[in-house]
Amino acid sequence: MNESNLTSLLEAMFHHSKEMILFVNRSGEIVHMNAHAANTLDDTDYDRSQFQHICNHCQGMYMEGGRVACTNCYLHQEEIVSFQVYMRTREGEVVPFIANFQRIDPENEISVFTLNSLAEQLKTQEIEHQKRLTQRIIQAQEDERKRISRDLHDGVTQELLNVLLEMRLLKYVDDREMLNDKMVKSEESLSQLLDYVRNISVELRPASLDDLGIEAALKTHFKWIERQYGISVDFIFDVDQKRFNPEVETVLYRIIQEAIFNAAKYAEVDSIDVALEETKDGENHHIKFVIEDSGLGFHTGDTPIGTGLGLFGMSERASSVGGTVSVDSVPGGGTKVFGSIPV
Amino acid sequence: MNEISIEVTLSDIQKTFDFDLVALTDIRVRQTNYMIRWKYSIGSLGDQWKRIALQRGKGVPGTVMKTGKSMIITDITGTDMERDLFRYPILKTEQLQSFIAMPLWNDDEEVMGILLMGNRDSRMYTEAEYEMVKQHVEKTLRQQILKELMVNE
Repeated sequence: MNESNLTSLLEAMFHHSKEMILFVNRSGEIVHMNAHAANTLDDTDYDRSQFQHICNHCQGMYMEGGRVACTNCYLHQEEIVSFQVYMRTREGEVVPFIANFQRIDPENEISVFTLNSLAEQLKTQEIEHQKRLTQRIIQAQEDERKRISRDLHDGVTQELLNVLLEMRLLKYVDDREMLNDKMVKSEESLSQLLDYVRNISVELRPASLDDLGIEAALKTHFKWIERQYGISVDFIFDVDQKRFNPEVETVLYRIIQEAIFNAAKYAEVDSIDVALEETKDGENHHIKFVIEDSGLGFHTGDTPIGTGLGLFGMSERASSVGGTVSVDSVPGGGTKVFGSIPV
Repeated sequence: MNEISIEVTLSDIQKTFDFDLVALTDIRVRQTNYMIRWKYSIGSLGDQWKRIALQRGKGVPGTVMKTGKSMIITDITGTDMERDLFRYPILKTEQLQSFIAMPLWNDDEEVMGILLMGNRDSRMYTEAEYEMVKQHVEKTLRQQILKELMVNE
């Protein structure tokens, strides 16, 4: 292979490549870019008499935890390979690219910056993620149905059958006193059954949430938590407004319920603090909530022990009414779930 | 009910048969509408057990009461109970890995209460061991409770 051949090949590659290739000097000005780069990047405020600056296009690098930021900018480094960067395109969108940045001419301090579209890969990844999520949701739904079905079968059906048999036998009792005795027993069975059914329905969704509002519903729920799991909940309710939009009330109730379940399941504590607070700042009217325990805690980046759907569900619910949820946790330092919802 | 003497009997069971925890529910004669609570607990990790109150038919005591049979679990790992530990709060709060839960009958063939005896590691309870525990409970705890109930009537 001779020298001239390589040069022409390189030139052809530069002009025809479907990869964006840019040569950048030390201050970030674009010395050359190939046709694909020129066609892709947004050049609306490009003054042709001057060098374009890379920062006109670049929106920052992808950082840990999904943030986009300019810390450790590639321009100040000798070489970074395969990092994710966001660029503004001609269509006015901000699109992720997988990029390489290498200094190729140390004397003039020129670097080559190559960019490959990530959209396709991200799309496949997203579909995969969606699929897994759907599977988990279906599984969770099925488990929930199994639980309810078992509750109905073990509790309701069996008790009903009991009462039915007792009633059948009543026909053959001649002695009035004995009959009374048996009727009292059947009455007891029926009233137990009534309680059982009521409990199932409250566990699914408390009627008090619709009838009496968030404070009453939460208090009832905390009492239930105490009896069911032996965990006491310290509740501070610092809100003047008694009722809110039903959607907001449901979201608040479910988020707090989920956070408490998580604490009860994984934190190994015997008490949990819950606080609701109203903040008014002119037009901004919010409800702030905090659910805090001083239990085991976890690394926020770790793979979840459970399905991971709980935290996901909380943030989905919050965002459905324009609110936010955050989780702060340190191993051994407890867990704090907090956020706010506009009302 | 003479609470001290019941506690002495439970401690005695704990020591004799080498259990980590021995717990007894509230004694009720007629199965009316009530929440099952733990009344005594020897060897507990904390006070959480005092707050637990289960509906009829729920949890370990509910299962035993419903079936009228003893539950003997040598290791909860891999069982439905482990997956659903939340429905068996006493197992979770006391971190039990193995246990025997036994119904206590009165002379009218009604369950008066549930006795739970467990360990925090897996333990192979043999048939002979179970029989020994059962006979011991029959002779001591059950007689004691029956006597107390008679006095109070």
